[in-house]
Amino acid sequence: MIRFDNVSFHYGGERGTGEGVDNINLSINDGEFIVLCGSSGCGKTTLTRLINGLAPHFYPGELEGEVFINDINVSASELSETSKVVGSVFQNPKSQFFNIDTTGELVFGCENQGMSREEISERLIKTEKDMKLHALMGRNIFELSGGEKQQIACGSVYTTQPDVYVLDEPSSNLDRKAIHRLHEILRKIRESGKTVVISEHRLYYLMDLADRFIYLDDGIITATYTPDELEKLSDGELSKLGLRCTDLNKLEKNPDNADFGNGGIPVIEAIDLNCTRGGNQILDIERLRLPEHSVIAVIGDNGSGKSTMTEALCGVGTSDGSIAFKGRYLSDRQRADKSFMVMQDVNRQLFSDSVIEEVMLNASVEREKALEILDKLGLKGTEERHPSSLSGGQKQRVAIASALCAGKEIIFYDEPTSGLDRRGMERFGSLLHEMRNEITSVIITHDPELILRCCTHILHIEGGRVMGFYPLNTDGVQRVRGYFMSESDENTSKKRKKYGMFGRVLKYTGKWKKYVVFAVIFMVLGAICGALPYAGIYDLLTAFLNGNGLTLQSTLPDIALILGAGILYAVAYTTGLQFSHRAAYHTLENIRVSLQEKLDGQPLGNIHDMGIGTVKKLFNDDIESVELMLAHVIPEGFSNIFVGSLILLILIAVDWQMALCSVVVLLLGYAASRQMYDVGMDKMGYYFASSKRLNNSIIEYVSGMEVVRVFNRSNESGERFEDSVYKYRDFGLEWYKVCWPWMALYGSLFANITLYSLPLGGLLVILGHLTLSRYILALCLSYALGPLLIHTLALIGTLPRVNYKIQSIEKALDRPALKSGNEPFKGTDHSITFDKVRFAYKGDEVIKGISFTAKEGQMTALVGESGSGKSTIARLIAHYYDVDSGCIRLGGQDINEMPLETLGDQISYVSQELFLFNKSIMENIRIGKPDATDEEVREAARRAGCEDFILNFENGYDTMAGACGNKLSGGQKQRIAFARVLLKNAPVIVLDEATAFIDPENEKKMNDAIEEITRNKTVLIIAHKLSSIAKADKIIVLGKGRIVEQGTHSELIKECDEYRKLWNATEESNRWILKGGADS
Amino acid sequence: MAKKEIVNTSTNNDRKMRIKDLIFAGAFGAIYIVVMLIVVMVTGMVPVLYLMNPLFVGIVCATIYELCVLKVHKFGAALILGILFAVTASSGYLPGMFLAIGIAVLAEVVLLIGKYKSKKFFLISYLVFNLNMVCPFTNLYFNKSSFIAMATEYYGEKYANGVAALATGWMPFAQMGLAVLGAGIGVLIASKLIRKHFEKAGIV
Amino acid sequence: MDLTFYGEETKGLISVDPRTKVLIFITSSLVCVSSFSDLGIALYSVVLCILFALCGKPMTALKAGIALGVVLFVRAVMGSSQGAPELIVMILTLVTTSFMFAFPPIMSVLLIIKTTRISHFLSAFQAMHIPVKAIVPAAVFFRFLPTVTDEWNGIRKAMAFRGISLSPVQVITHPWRTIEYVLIPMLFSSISVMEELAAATMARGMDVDVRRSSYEKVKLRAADYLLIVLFIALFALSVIVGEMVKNGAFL
Repeated sequence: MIRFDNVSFHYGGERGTGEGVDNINLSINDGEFIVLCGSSGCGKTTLTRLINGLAPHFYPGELEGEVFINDINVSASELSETSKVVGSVFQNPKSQFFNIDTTGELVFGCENQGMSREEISERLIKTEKDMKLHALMGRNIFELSGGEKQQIACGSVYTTQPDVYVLDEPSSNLDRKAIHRLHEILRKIRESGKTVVISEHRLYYLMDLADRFIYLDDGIITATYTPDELEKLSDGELSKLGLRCTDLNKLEKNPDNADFGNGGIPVIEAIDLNCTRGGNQILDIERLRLPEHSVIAVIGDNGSGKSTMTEALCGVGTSDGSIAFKGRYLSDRQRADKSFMVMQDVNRQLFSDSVIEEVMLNASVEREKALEILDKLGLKGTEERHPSSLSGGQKQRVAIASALCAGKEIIFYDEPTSGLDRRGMERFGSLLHEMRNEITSVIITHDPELILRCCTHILHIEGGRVMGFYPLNTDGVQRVRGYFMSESDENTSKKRKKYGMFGRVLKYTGKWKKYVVFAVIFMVLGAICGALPYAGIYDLLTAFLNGNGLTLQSTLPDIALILGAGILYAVAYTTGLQFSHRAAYHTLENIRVSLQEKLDGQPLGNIHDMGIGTVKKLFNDDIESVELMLAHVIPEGFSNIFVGSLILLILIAVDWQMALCSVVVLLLGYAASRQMYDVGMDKMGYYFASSKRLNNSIIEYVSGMEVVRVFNRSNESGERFEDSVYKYRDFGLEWYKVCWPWMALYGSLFANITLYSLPLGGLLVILGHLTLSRYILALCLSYALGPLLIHTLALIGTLPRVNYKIQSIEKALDRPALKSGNEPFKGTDHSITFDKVRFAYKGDEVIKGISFTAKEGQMTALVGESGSGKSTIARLIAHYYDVDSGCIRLGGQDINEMPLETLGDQISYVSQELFLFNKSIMENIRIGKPDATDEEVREAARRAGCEDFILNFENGYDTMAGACGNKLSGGQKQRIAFARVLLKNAPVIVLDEATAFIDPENEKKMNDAIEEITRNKTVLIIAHKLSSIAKADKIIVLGKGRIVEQGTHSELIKECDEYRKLWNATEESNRWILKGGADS
Repeated sequence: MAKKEIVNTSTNNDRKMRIKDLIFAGAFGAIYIVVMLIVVMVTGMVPVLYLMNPLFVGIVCATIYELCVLKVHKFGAALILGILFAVTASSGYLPGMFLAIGIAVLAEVVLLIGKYKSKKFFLISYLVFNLNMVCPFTNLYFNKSSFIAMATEYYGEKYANGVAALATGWMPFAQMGLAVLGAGIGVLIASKLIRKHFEKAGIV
Repeated sequence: MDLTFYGEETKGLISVDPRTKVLIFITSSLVCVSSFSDLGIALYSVVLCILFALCGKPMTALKAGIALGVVLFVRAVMGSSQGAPELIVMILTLVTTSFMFAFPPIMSVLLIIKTTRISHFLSAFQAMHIPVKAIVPAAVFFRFLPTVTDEWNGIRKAMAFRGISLSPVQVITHPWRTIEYVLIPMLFSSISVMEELAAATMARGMDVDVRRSSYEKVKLRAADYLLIVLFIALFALSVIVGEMVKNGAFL
């Protein structure tokens, strides 16, 4: 039990501020969960410090009264004693850990208490289990995200098993997932019966855990609330108390915040923003446009690249891509001139010794104007004070003031309200709102209250890509609320592995690595043999120069050597090539297989969106280019370099001055090639992006030709095509242009080493420092050296390209895999339930919170205008995509729990397009149920009404689909699809515009077929033609992503305007008759 | 009835290094070493400037040293900084390392004489401390005989003497002088900065 | 700064106790002082490279070995050109000699850095009964290094926004201001981190007077004893060889 006996404490000592708490009389029972709340500076933190003993033992000051925990007098005992019963977790994850590795940090507290190793080990295991820290054990703390660090901090305290837990604003720097995890940890601690005292601003996540809320004002406890009482308080009352909201659902948008400046030139436009670090691609943004005069919130989980993106946008982070400010493309430095970033750690941005000096630093503004700006920000009277003596919120405003004085046009904020109370946040929000006309603000934040208070747009980043950009109108508010309320808690930070040049490819080589090694050995042998003839020549020349006669006999050994070496070279080289190619092709196989597995796991929708062109390019072209690297670069490159160095060493032994000359030339050439490599990497991004676009536009151009010609749009389409071709040419040329001079330089240097060493050597011979024969040997060696190196460099030039390709291959399929599990189908029936489902497609929200049930055995129809989301719903049922929030259930079981095959067994999805494989019709229909007999296939075809036209083909059921595919009409194709469905006999059927191809001839047949397949099944049918669904058991009317009404046909005619409109339109179109021709 | 007790735990009279002080010393050590390495690497690009290291390091790092010593104001701050320096900067050569540690002890003694209160002694102690910037070069000076032996092995007397000429007597003294000069300038900057910023902000 | 050595222990064929590595470091430093010949140092260095490879970093060992081989080769072959200008020869001698002297200590330091986990390192010290007063600053030093570099990067970015540049021209023309703008944010920011760290550490019970235990097991195994004996023997050998060379053997 914690007891405060009339305690007062004021910070004193050498530089005290005199603040503190007064007359605290408080009792906290064992196992209670207390939340201390109040505005900033009210004394909550001081109270926590009094409990864990930091006041007065660490923060000196004047203390009256005593604090007792059970029998221990905290105020008098040493911290080492107190820490045995009190565990503390602090606000800033970055500065509270002592160790560098996670395991060491978790046992830190126990080690300090001198526990035995066995005891510590036991406790560690318990902590790991209870807190689910398995993925974080044995890692480097610096690599973890803020939320994970905070988890480790809690774990560290948990391991010491104290009686009391004291937490000081632990959720300050956490994102929504981490707050959720923190909530779970606190719940666990509470369940184990320990006392928890937590001082917090964010109250909403504690509402279901707390026993009491203690409210402090100016150092005195003024009120105590139970959770129910607190919840009943209205927002106005909470605001008066200075407390943040208690329920996220009740958050409303600030009504003053109504207008969005959406026109005009966007203030920032970024194209192809890419950023790579350590071989991993962190940012991958194709296009981004931020409007002027707006306040934009950047949301996304930790590690999604938000900070990297903002740093790149304002010019302090390195990245590729082009970024424009107000329509003009600017370099990094120019952007840094025009923009400003208020960092999380404001201490790093304060340079001067007084506030007024600070804001006038390097800013061409007069003193009066600066004072005016300070006044507007509420900093009047602090001009002469040192910035570091101000509070956190004030420091932040000083930074903003300096930006205003410097006339910046856009300011970025990195989590500005993490430690602010309600008033601070409100003040900040209104400030941004007022500044909107002069300054655009971009805020990285995890604070939903701030967002709803002052932001006009939301930018959602996930995994380095833009998930969505939308204005904060009513729809937007719901969407962002959905984001913050969704309940996932997976760990986000992965170990980012670094790859060297070869590492990426070699990881796919697997057991064929030894072939690569063999290849290298043989090629080395070959290269040596390639250089040997020069020794022979030297020998001959020396003999010649020494005046000995050259007879056939004396020269025979040398000639033999030259010949032998030549043959050996050819043999070794080709053997080496054999090995390397074998290894290369096997590696390609491995890459293709691994990619196919990844492709399997992707949501169907993603693959659909990527486009055939991209996928084909990925699997065919890009992978082929890897072959070059494996088969040639690695073995040949290595061997050439090795032998080259050997030759160089011999050269040094012969005459090191000539060697030095050659080395200098070589180094220059190497420097040139390095430069080319570096510079080439820069332009690579553009080049490949444009190549991708070219691919896609070719396909679009060709496949759309029919439509384009009919509607006479050839010009437009042709223009687009031309444009992408030109861009490709331009980028390609640009890249080469940048590389050309360097290539020329090193090419000439390497090829012409003798140009430099020849005269030098001659000089040495003349001076008598060198014998002629050695001179010649040296020359020969230089000749041997040159070609080897040039060859190598040509190969090395392709390295960056290949690496880039492999990376983009991996990245293309790196999107999150479909969420599926391994459970069998456990549903109670076959009804389909949508539960508050939200889904966004390419950044736009298409399904905005839809809930409905399609009962078993009934036909449910979805109607609505185009674009209202009908087809999307059908695709979501078939698990084409993962939903953003909410849940889809089949018979009560979440479809995410089942593997895709199991779901597929239960659902038949019939869409408008029918894909026929290149087999017979019999086989094509058999796809519905692979083990069906021929008789079953024929029966299904009969019932679907296909029999008559199939039998009209030459070979009947055995006609190859390719041959007759083009001759089938839409209706006939549709009936084949029905046949498949009949064969499969799955309990749930989804028909997506299946009746689109009804023509009057076949109408009866189609209707019969549909009757047939939908008997006794749960059916979800989407149709434009209302007449076909009028008899459905339930009709759901959709409008703009939401459900407008549901009911039967008669109910809807009576009550729903929307439906009536649609029905009338259908009826009318039914009555259209063609004029002229037949009698009417 | 609650007792009215005023517990004033100011630590001015506590001479022993507590965990707090050890942490400060270690952290300042990290800052000192990083800044020193940055200065050395930047000036090291020009060979002449590289030999004048002690001057530049003295100018820049004085503030860090002074701040550390002022914040800890107990026995051991300078010593810890010195040992960290010795191990990271002069570890290539053992006698040099011991020399650096010795200099650190000397600097600590100067602080002791000033009873950790006198500003003047704080400043003088850095003048002594910066002498340890010469230590990384000691390998060059003390190994003269070894150098000569190895050079003679290959080239004979003439070359050996040439090598010896490089490590002549005046270099170490010149470097020590530069160290003191640099420390002096640095200390002036340090006291100005400390007065202007840290005292005003209330950190020291 | 490569932060990988903060986290994982490398997978080598043998794992060497950090204390043994420190001993190797001491003998390496002494070798250069007392051995006067190439041969002695070369012998020692080769064994060191092999140890490196055995401890799990064969690539580094290979690179170091190749560097060593090249330098030795150069020294042997320097006599090949008769008429070389004296200056170049002297410079080459100086460079190669410094390399030979620096090689063993640097390699042994690299051995420590690249194959030891810091926490393991500190536990070894604790096992050696070195007082807490010496271990804590060392531990904080290592833990703070990444923090300082982080701060430094942040400050550079902040300076970019304010138009304070770090180009050599600026530094030379306004030295005092540059120093101020670099040091002040760094120190203020670091001090605030330091204080929070100290508060958190003390609140979790660390005290100079209370004896700590250690969770990490640090034990000298057979391999360690073997290495200790081996390296001391090597040291003695290289000194002896050096003496012999000085006195005229091997010429």
